[in-house]
Amino acid sequence: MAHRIETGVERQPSLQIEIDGVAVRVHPGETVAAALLLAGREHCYTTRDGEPRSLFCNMGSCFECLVAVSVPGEAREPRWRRACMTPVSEGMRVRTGKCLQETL
Amino acid sequence: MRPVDLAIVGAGPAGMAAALTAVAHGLRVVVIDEQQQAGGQILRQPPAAIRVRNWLRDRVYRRQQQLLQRAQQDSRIEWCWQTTVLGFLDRDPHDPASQRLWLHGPGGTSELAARSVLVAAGCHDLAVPFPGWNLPGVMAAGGLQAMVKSQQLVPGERFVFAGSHPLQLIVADQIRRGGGEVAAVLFAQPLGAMLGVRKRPLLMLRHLGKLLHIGGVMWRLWRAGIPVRFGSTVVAAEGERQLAAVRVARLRDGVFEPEQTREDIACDHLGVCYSFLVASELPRQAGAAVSWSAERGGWIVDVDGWQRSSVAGLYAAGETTGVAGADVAREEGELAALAVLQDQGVLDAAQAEKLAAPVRRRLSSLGEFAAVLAQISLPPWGVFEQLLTDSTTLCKCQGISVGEFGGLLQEHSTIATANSAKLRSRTGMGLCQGRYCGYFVTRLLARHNEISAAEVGPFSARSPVKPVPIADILARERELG
Amino acid sequence: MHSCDVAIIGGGLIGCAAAFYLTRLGKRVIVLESDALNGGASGRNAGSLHFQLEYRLLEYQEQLQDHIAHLVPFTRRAIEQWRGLETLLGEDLELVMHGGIMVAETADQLQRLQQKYEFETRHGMQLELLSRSELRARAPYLDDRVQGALYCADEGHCNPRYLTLAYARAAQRLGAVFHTGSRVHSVQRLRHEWALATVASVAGDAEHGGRADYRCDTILNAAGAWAADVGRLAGVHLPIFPVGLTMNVTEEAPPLVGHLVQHVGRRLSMKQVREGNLLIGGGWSARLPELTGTGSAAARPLYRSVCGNLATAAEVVPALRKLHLLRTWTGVTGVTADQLPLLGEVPQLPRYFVAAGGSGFTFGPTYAELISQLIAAGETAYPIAPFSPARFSHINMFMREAGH
Repeated sequence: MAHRIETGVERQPSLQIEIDGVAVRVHPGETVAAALLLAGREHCYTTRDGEPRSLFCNMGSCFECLVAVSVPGEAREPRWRRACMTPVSEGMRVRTGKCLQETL
Repeated sequence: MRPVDLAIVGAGPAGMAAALTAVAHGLRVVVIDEQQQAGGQILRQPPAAIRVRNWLRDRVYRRQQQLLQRAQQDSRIEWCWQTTVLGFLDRDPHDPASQRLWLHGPGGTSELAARSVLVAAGCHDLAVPFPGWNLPGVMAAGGLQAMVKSQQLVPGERFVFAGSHPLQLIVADQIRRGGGEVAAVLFAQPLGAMLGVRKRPLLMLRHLGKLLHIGGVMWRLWRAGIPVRFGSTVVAAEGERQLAAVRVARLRDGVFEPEQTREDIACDHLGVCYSFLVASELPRQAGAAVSWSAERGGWIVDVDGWQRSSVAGLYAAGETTGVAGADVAREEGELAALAVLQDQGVLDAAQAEKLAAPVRRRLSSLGEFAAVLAQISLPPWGVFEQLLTDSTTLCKCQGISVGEFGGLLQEHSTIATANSAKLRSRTGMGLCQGRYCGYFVTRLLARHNEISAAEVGPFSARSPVKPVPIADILARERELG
Repeated sequence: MHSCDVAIIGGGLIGCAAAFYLTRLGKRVIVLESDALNGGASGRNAGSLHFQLEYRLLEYQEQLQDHIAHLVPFTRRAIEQWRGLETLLGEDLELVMHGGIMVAETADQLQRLQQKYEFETRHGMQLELLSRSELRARAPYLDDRVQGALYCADEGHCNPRYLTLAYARAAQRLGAVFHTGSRVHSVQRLRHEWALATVASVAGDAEHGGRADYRCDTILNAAGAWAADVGRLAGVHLPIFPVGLTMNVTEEAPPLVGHLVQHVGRRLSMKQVREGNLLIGGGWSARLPELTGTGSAAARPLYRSVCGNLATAAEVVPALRKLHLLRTWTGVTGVTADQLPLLGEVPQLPRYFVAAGGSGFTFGPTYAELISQLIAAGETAYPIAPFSPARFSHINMFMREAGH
């Protein structure tokens, strides 16, 4: 499992997000990708052939870390977002493993 | 809309250096980047909310750190964060000399007019396909490194690195220092090939700092008992929905040794680190000429001695013009800014040449080193060819295997260009727009038809170069009325 | 020196399909393509099979009444042909003919649909006018603003990235020869035959590129939107004009739009393909791409076209707002001076034929089949005289005779 480097690092008080219905504590400034690694849920989306896709480039280029994200106060329906480019926010809900052709 | 003088795509070393030089001469400069802060991938900073003492204090980062400090403290530079440049729009008929960029930021999409545009969009890892590479846990080494650098997170427990670029030593060391276990670092090429650099003693001396840095890293890995092997690589990733082990084969004369001599190494994350591909899609979409370089990142943007592309008003610097590292990028950025100043009439030719002279001197030495590094950091094509087995996924976005692609080439002997291959096979039509598979499509097609990469050509780059929510485009449309 | 019966200039849909039909009729054929097969308009369109009269024709319906009448029976022939195409070529072409609707939002547009319905059914098209409630039941994805639609059960789409190559492959099996990366730069009439010369384009293939000479009995100009440029090589004016059109494609989405959707009063054409992507176009202008063959030609979108096209589409199908735009590109169509195809022998040039015109995808197989019959047998199973280039003889009155 992934871990945070604590030595020499100051983080702000944690906030709560939900990954596949499970509450996860994260810190401001962390990305959804970091939260997925910490939660051990790296399978981001599923191709139409049923194959998993997951974090790869971690720099917004490959689009393999798409997850369904809903943010309180934004659109009611979840949106596909790149986990590596999306900072966490309080109350955010993340769904992993969905197929791009599924209705969100 | 009054155009800005210079729009710079990418806030890495090239972009920062260009911005500093341009604002120093009075230009209005906007720097656009997808990240939240300056630095690019080499100095991928932690977000403001995560404070790190002694962040990237190794000597080798010192000059880049100084550049970063100067750029961040310069209040004349306008920054545009979390913003993707989706493409070059059709020119404004009332101002045909300017470029119009299509931006996508937190507020939706918008237009930006600029008298000149510098694309310094960097590069991304060359993702070499091999059996099982789509298992969660297989990542680009650069992606693992960015987790450590900017998120201060060790993204797993036990790591293997495999590839051919010395960067993997540095990432392995950073993972180790963060408390991760590194099971092995594997170089596909023999040690002798890496040591080719020793035949250039003067060059080595001039770039001693970098070599000492690598030496120090190797020393620390050795002391920690981490095996660094040459002439072997990962030939398959194994696991059920998550990486559990990698299969390692030794190479003899460039050929994988037989099945029974292979070995499994348990790990939950693999960093793939062969080389890098340039991000040239924006200049290509704008119509800039490109050339093929297998070692320096695929389709690289053609520039003249002043970093001018073949399109008037469009400049390119840094990795976009061929992977050569952050030091070269910084110098090229400065040179590009001098060209813009000259082309916009701020500097005359003599002034620009005078300011460019020291930049060119530094570049010539740095460029030489980068060329040697690029050469020793890419294994022969045969290594990739053995990894690209028929069942290996070639295009991850569309789920197309090497075998399926080859089958189509067999069936359709008239397919000769990357574009015709794309149209028939869907490779390169997915979410990443061919950024990852394009390199291999080009090489496989060239090989199949026994033609040159130049004849195969690149995929046509289309705007938006990254997918954009339609709702974000329509928000803007309402504004336009 | 290559010799053949028919040299086809243009490796798009019509050229490759004609290569197939002509070889099947026993002709020796060489196809000369300056870029790659299917690299021009044929591979860049959205693959719509629109058998109802289109928006572009309706706008000028009154002036075109007589002409349009010729198109309707021609359409019936095309429908028949499409139904058998996958069997004929032995390939999965992602062909679906599960119906298309042309929607109306206003009373005025509804009235136009009614007139269109009467006109087309009078000429034998089978169409159905759908009321608002019938439409709700059949096409629940439409916005409430849509008041009614004209339904054509035969409409649908086919994958334009596959069709041309399928024809080429079938033609190759019968002996047709394809030279890609070969740009025709001279066309000369000799005493009894034609002489052509090509030069290699940048993207030429190693085996067949370079300079080459050809002798043939017959030339078929199948250069589509660029047929006028090719015509000039032989000294004739062919009044066809290339037009760039904005095309958009979304990410792969869940099944949403089950028909080919067009609009009677606004520029919109939309469909969902097998992989789930929605293709959105319908006549929004775009800068014509320069077909350099290097893949690096500028492709800068017209912002207002992209926004306007997507806004129109999202008003008709609101669920679009939830999707991502994956790409825009420029499709190309060739519009003739009177909107009818150019199909037949050019009177000024012996054994020089042309097959080009609008709706080149929907009608491409039909154009190709008929022109092949004309070339091989001197007559066609279906009359095509109204489409003959002879109707433009007046603009070629003073042109030089090729080669003299």
